[in-house]
Amino acid sequence: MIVVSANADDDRHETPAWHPERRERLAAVMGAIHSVVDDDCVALGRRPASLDEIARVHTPAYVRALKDLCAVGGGELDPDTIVADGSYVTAVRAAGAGLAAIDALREGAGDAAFVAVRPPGHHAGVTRGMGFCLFNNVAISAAALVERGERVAIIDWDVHHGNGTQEIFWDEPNVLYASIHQSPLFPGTGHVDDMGGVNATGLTINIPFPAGTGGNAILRAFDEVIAPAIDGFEPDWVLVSAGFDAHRDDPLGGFVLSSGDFALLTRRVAAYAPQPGRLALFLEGGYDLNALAACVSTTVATLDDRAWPSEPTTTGVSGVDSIRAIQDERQRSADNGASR
Amino acid sequence: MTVHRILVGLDGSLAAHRAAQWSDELARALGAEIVAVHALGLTDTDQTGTRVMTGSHRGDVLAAFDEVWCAPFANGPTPVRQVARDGEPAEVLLAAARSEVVDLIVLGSRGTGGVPQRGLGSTSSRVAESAEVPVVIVPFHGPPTD
Repeated sequence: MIVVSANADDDRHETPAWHPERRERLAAVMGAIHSVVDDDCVALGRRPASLDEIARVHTPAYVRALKDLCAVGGGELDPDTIVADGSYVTAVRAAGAGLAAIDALREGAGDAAFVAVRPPGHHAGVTRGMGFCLFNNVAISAAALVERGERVAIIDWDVHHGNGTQEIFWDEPNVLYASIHQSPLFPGTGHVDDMGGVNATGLTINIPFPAGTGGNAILRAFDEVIAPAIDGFEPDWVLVSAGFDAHRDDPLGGFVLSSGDFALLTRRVAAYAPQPGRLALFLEGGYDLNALAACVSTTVATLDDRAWPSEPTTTGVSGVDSIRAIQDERQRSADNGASR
Repeated sequence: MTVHRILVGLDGSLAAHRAAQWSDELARALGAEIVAVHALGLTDTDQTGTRVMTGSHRGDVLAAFDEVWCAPFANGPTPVRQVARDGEPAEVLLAAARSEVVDLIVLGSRGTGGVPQRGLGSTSSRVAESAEVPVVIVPFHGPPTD
């Protein structure tokens, strides 16, 4: 049984016609989910995040400024990040959808959850949104779990580095953050030797790959770098920043993954969860609607242990040779006691 | 105080174009060099001013930076170095100011991000708050580029 938590029904986050992060993304995602698991999913109702829940990761001043901006009709946080009058309430419900999914899983409602929300979250840092992101949805859920004394692993397979999530949990010993991302690419962060603060050294894991990287390199990184770290960390929960802009058809990234690769990645993260009901995937990027729908279908089918047609897995032109260099750099940084 | 190197932030906006013109005049007067900096975002503008996805149009954006946004410096005597880096604009500008060892930062009063938002901080205000060298904001009261 899959828990589906979404904010598609009250999505008032309007963006300009040229903008890739648009309402149609959620329509494609929800269509994909229901085509796969309509008979085996729990759909949750609306549940906004409270200010206290958001303020675990964002400053009240930022939350207030964003609310005020939307109240006067919206504007632009930066050239990429545009808000309208309904963006604040949509973002609050996006954050709440993650919290609702966690609560439902805790109550035994399903084996895994898919949190289908927009705007995405992993670029939003402590004091500001950026890169299409307003509130850091996965971080708000992780912070709620940490407050209950639980340990959380966040795996980020979006093609962009989740700089906001890294910042929020930089020095948090109960959160492991592992990101595989393209470099160079926006937001220009996510270096191998960024390994966490003094209280969490080694719990930030960055695995940057060049454009052209395929599924074979990503899977090796999961197996040779992330899996051993998860084993050592022993999380109570596994949350995934599940962007699908690493697909070869996506206009914002340069990786060449297929929907079939995402099936294998989903199996990996499911295996990291300590027990059924402790895995939640949060939608981040993914801007080619056909590729997004194909990847979400495959991912949700894999979570529900169903056979589903997907594209063949890929072998990229680069990436595999980077794995050893990444491991060596992390070891060097650990030996030197580097923290940032 | 001597100004040897001037950083100017460019993003394809009319305000940045005005800042580039002002920087060029100042550099000529002082005999200084220009460091032109652009922060590559998730989206950008190409040579025609069309909004594009940077991931799949990186070459077009860099061409716009070189051929269009740096046009005020073309054919002049001022040495110009172009720096394009991925990231949030204020962070890219501040990092470039340090790594390029500039003496002055020049920015337009508004970028493609439009009018600065109270409480959220515009690029120019965040750079001015954190920069280690003087910052000049060149006024521009025309329409935003987008």
